[in-house]
This record gives sequence, structure tokens and C-alpha cells, in this order.
Amino acid sequence: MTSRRPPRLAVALLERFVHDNEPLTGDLLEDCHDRSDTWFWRQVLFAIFARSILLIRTHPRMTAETVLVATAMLALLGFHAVVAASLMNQLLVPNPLKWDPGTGWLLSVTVSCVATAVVIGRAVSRFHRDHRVAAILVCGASATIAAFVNLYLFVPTVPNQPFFPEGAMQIAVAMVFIAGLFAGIGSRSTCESLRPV
Amino acid sequence: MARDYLTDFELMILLAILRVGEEAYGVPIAREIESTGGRTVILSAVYAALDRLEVNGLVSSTLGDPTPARGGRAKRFFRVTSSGLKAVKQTRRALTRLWEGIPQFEGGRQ
Repeated sequence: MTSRRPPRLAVALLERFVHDNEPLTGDLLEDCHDRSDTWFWRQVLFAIFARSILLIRTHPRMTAETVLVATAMLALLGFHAVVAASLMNQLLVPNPLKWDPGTGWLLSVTVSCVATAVVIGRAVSRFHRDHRVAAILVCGASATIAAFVNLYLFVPTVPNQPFFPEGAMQIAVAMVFIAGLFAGIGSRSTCESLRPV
Repeated sequence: MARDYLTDFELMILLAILRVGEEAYGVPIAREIESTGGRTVILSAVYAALDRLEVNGLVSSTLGDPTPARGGRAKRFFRVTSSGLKAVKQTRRALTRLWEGIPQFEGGRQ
């Protein structure tokens, strides 16, 4: 018997998605020594597929909600990644018309945004497991309001200007706000998981 | 609700467990089916079928000790229950009756 190792990525996927079936994972790791990588990948992908089908059949609502949340989060992060790129472009190509609010204002507003977001995040964490759609709406709405308020605070003289590139600062603050939301939700969830039962 | 019949894969798994004996866990069961059944086996499909059979009371399972060769994972040993043995026998009788009287298979012709 050779002592070849299974593909790391396949093992990582197996650990991530089939972590609750210890005997199956052990069998695959035991049997992979004299099998090809193709065999192992086929086994892992089928195990993940079978696990997904089982989850959909046994917990259809939870699966739908999870997919919805994941899609919303991906869309949100994707949107902010585009905005972050826009912000970099704005920094590399200075716009003479851009209004500079000053470092003091920027810092104080950013700190205020983070503090507000953490408070809202901790509040959302109370119901985000049971009412995920409502949690998404609250997070999205609060982030939008924060960005909207910042737009009017920092670009007060041109209210109807195009979103890009002048909205870069608004989006940057919104990104910080969303990071604060995640921090708030995560901090409370971590505390709950550490609480003795 | 438990079914009264076995699928061909379930029957093969039960027979493989009986052939392997005391050391019947995922890997030897799958290898037994591969060597005697001449088909490639997906381990997660074996476990899905075994879970089904256990829910129906046809097999029972116990967890073994973790071993280094398996990355510290425990083995899950299976054995056929008396209900499982009965189901295998019933299926064999049913299949034997189905085989009888088919003109194409009479007189050694296939």
C-alpha cells in the first residue's frame, strides 16, 4: 500500500461540508491511499451533493433561507468591492471638485458610524437566526440610511450629482458601517456560544 | 413508513455485510460490492443506503475507536439484524420465483 495523500482542497471541502459524518470522512481518508485523485474527488463531490440533497429534503425552509442570506451577503460584498475599487480610482485620480471635509470630521463620523453599527448589529443578533429576511432588511436599510446621511453631510452643495465618483466617500463610510454591523452580530453570537448551558 | 422490499443496492449491501462479518464498516463493504458485484461504488451512497436500512431496522451500527490511518476518525461497524436477515431471505425467495418459468432461461439458454 502506498502512502499517497489525498488532494488538500478536496479534504478541506469534505471537512467543511460533510463534517458531521465522521465515519464517512474516515473511510474516504483510509481508502484514498491506493486510489487515484479522480476517485477521491468523485467521492467528495458526490458526498457533498448527497449531503446538500439531504439538507434540502429535511430542512427546505432553512436551506432556502441560508441560500437567500448567502446570496444577499455575496451581492452586498460584491457591490462594496466594486465601490472599493471606485474609491481607489478616486484616490489615484484626484478630482479638483471634490469637497474635502477634513480629517477630524471624517474620523469622528467614521467612529460614530462604527459605534452605531455595532449597537444595531447587536440588536439584530437577537433575532437574526429566526428572522433572517428581517435581519437582512434591517442591515441593508440601516447601511443605506448611514450612507445617505453621510452623502448629505459631506457633499451638501451638490445633492443631485451622479453617484460615481463623488459617492465614493459615502460608500467608504457605508463599508465601515457594514463591518460594524458584522462585528456587532458576531460579538453577540460569540458570547452566546460561550455561555454555559 | 418502512418499505417491504429491498432495492438491488440495498440487497447487495446487506449481503456484503453478511460476507464481511464482524469487521463490516464502509470500506470493506464497498470493496466487497466492487469485487463481487463488478461495479464502482460511491461511499456516500453506501452510507445513505445504510442509514435507510438502519431507520427501517434492517441493520444496526456501533462506533469503533478512532485510528491514525483515518485521520483520527472512528469506524462505524454494521451488522444485519434479524429483520434484515428475514428481508434478505424474502427477497431471495421472490427473485427465485421470478426467475422460474421464463422461457428464455429454460434449458440452459440465455
